[in-house]
Amino acid sequence: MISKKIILIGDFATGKTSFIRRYVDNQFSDTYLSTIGVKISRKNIALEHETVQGLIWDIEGGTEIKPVNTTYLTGAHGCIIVADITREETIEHIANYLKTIGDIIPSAPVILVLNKRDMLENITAKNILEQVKQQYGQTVNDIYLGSAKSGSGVEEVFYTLAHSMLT
Amino acid sequence: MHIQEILNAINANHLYEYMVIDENLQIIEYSDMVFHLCETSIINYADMSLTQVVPELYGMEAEIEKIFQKEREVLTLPYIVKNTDQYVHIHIHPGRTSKEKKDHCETLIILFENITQQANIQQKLIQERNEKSLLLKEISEKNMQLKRFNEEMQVMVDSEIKKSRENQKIMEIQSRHAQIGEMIGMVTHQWKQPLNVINLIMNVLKIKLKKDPIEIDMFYETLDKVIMQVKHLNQTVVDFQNFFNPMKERVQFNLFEHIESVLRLLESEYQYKYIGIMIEGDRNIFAYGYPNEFKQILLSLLKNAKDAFEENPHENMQITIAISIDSGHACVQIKDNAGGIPVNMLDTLFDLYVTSKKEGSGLGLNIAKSMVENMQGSLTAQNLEDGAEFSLFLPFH
Repeated sequence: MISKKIILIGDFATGKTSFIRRYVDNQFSDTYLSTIGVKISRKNIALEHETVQGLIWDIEGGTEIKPVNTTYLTGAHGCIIVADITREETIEHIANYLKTIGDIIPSAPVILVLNKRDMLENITAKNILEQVKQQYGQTVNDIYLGSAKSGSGVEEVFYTLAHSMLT
Repeated sequence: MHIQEILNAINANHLYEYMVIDENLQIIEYSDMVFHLCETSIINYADMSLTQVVPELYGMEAEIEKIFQKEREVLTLPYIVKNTDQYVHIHIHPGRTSKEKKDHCETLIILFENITQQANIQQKLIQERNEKSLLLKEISEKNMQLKRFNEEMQVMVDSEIKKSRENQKIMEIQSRHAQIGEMIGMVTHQWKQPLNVINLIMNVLKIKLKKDPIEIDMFYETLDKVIMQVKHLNQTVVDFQNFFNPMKERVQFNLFEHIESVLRLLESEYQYKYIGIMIEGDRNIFAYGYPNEFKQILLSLLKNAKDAFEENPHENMQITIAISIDSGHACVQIKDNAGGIPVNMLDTLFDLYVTSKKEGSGLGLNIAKSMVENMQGSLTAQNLEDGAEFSLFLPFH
């Protein structure tokens, strides 16, 4: 079975750990606990013709005073950038993460997730998605609305990324 | 120092656990407790692949190869959370140098530095910092929402004020129309007397002319009487005409003269109803404001007194208008002896739609008060022993 290193990056408190926990353990907790450093989880991602073992790196969220440690990105095969749809600045910072990824692992496919969609009206979330698509649609492989809380979009994100890593 | 001695020293300190790997990334040696920081299910790592035991190094093979080639000195992965909830720094250092190739390493040492204690402290600090940052963000958003809410409220308030002003304007117009209607009634009254007099004079003249030729002096005298009555009629029309002519600028005006012009229009109706009106006080006091509005206010107050007398008639119905200077203001007090204002209405007397009359609109006093305030004056009311007293204060010149 092929193993692939997948990294999740984004600003702090965007829900990266919750997103992985929903995907790996199908669990969710409202309590916010900051991640420091990195924690690796594993999950097999079943595609149509093969299965990929995902080594999913939950990387400490970046802040303006403490950016993401780029050593963690070394050797990654795919990236998920997580932004909080209710916090505009986390969407604005997507460009910075894309630059870091481009510098270190330029060939890795990138999926963008606008997490916490459950906190906004459908129409508002879709409007924001359209704006983000206009801005980053050409730069990343795909953009999703997601919710670690409800589970919406979580499977699709990892499936699409696994598929992109193999093609 | 031999590599084994270094490893022994590390082992003795218990600060680090270690593994030694060869060029094929196979584990060839490890400290006894290293499994606590790695895959807990595996306890014999000998000949296992490095990335099987340390998945954090998966994908970093190229970088590890650089250390073998001595192209890179060290590789560090800080703050790795292991499955045992322990935090480690993973450091990869060069090990033994190849005897054949001096620029090449035969082994690498992977050190696992247990930093759980300091990581937990740091985690707390980061947690606090992040929570504070989120809180500040939330406060800032709430402030923005509050600001937007205030702005929306201001727009609504402005709109309501505008509507209220428009309604006030409409009410003023309606009230003015009602006053015009009443004034026409008064003018009719006022005209009846001189018209009767003229009619009488002309009839007497006609009778005299039929009987005897009259003297020219007497004829002129009769004409003068008629002219005087016509002047009186004309004055009534002029007073009426001026009454509702809006003035845009505030001017000085003589209170007595303007009160008199109002009374000229009213006197016959009030006489007809046996209501006596008396002016007292200084005739040379000037107020500063809009004279026509002053007359409308006075008319409204006098009409209220007249209405009160209609509900409470008696033999000595009397209105007194007193002009004076009071606390630096020109003051006009209108007193009547019509029984006074119901006590329960005194506090709300000037409020909109408040009236004690059966067919009253509740507009008159409210509009009168706003007109007075528009002239930077004030209007108050109180009960006297046998009636009411309205005091009108205006800027004094």
